Amino acid sequence: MADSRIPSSVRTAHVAGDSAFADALRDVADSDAATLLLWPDAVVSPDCDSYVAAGLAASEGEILTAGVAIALPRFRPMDGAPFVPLEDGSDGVYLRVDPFPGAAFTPQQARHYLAWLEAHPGGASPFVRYLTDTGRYLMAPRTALAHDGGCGRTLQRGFPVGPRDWKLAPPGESLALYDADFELATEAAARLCPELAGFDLDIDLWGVKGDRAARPFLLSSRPCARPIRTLGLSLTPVEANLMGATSGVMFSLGRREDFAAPDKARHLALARHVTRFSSLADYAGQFLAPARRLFSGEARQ
Amino acid sequence: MMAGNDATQRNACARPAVVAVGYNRPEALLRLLESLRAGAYPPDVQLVISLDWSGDPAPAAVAEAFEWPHGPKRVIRHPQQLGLREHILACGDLTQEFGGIILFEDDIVAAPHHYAYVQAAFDFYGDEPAIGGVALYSYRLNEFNNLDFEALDDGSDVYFLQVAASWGQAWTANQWSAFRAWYGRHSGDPIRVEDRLPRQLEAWRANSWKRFYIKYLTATGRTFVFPRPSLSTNMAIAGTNTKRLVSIYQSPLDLLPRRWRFRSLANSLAQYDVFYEPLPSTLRALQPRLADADFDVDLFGTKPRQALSRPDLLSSRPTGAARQGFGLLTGAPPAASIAQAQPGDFFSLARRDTFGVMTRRRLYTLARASQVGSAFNKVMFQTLKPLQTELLIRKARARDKALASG
Repeated sequence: MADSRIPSSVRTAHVAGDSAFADALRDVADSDAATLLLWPDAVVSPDCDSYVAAGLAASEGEILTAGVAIALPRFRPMDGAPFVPLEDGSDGVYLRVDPFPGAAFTPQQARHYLAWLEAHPGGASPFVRYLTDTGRYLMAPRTALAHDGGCGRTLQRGFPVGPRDWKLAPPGESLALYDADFELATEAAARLCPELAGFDLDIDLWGVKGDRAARPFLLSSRPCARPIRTLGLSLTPVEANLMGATSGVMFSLGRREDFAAPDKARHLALARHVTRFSSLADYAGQFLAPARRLFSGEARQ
Repeated sequence: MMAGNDATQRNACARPAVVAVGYNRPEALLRLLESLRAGAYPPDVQLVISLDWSGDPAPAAVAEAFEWPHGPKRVIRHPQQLGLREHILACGDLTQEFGGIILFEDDIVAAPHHYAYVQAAFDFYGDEPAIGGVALYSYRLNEFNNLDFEALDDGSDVYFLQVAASWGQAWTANQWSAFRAWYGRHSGDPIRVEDRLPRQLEAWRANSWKRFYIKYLTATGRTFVFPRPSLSTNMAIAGTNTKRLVSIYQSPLDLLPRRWRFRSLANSLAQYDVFYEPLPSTLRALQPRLADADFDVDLFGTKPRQALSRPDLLSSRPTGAARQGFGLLTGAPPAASIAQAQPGDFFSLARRDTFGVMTRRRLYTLARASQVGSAFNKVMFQTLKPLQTELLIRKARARDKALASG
């Protein structure tokens, strides 16, 4: 059931399901006001109202913003790794994801998507393809403002417990821009590491893009035979390592053809890094060290 | 409750010095210094590089050669080994010269806009007597049990935790001198769980200044203010207190300037005790069903009995006499289950003496719901950690006994 504490200052409509999303957007396109579309079972934070209002205001006249989502995925859907956006001083991030379990759209945003959909019928995940094809993003809050009750794709989430003065940077200034693979967008990577701006490259830190990485250069955890530059893995989230704080060979910048197939060991290392994995083997060694010292020479001295 | 800044400028230290602490890790020191140099500062910010004597000339060479374009640089080379505790105490005493300091040990990396944050925090909290210091590091992990920590989001950019920050921290002269006065009276006292402190503090090394600062915070009712986005991160390279390279202490750095939204202690809805558990007052403010209850909080079910004194307890431990129950939200910190009144009975409010001990099964359920990593590893760590703690305590007591007997 939808939460009764839905926003009051923005018109709200309920979407019967994924297939009815386009129908709901047609109603938005025909209306004269922005509308928050909520999927079945959406549970919404009371603070959603102020965020949606601020998000719509921030997206006014901003052609790169395709809508204002009210939830941030906790995990990357392709591998279940935690999704932690770069911190850039803004309360919002920009993603290419489905607007589940709720998002607000202006009539203009709705009309633009519907026009694209008419020209590109069929296929899976049309909204994500629309975002990718048009270079647009869905704004999402860093803090969860909705979940689906734990029965769907977002899990339950903790909501904010106090009001806030929302700060929402436009996509042209944000460091937290992510593509449909939850990889840092190339333009955001260039803001983070200006020397990348000279390369026509794909970012594929997790090595999952395969043929979708088609530009001449690649920045990836995949093994590279002739790297132009390598970077280590120390900071979190993994994208922060593009700043080059640590030397190492986890990530390589190179020509696309110089990269080998994804390496499972590297993917596991990334997964352990982002989950703050405590290696029990390492810990057991640390655990046994004082025992060894206690019962060996040191204790008898 | 107020959104945004809820107080205006207070008396503060306008221009704190930046203090880099080194010992025997020249590469780490250089990495810290480079992160500091890349930061944004007003003109004429003093850098102090304080080096304890290690016998290795390399750290001093790094310090002397380092160019600091943001103001004057001073290198302090202690001629004899102070040890970590005395070294940090000596660095803290620099607050009296500069009015305040921002201190980084050499395994830390600073975020580019840390200085503006500290200036703003000193402005806002400098005259608040209950604030014992300003953290630059933001915890994502409970340092005592390695479980994930996520502060409740009260709309501000800060939370309050009764743990001294040591991975990037700042003190005003007043904050430091208050600690110094207390330390002068209590530096010889033992640190025990009977002081309502985590058992692990007894196992920490004698050269730890932090365990004294934590005891000071709890004994005097003070707290540290922590930023939600981190202004420093811990690279956790091997050194005095860390024996293996780990990444679990990494915290996402704040990469761009921001307008800080501070909130006074009185208005905060994100206040935590030394066990990283929310204060009863915080939960009472958030959950009307608890408004009239007098209870301790033990949502992780691991608090020692010495830390419990109120008639009732709110805990994940099993009880057959619950007066109120709350379910367990997945994908959220345990406190969110209480704040959002999640239906269920995983957490119970009952008389303290009706609770049993925490079971592995309940701990696993809790870890699966609230932790981002492997729940199994988290629970195994929880199983091993107390054993390690007891071994280290035995070792520390043997050492103290040997010292006492000459």
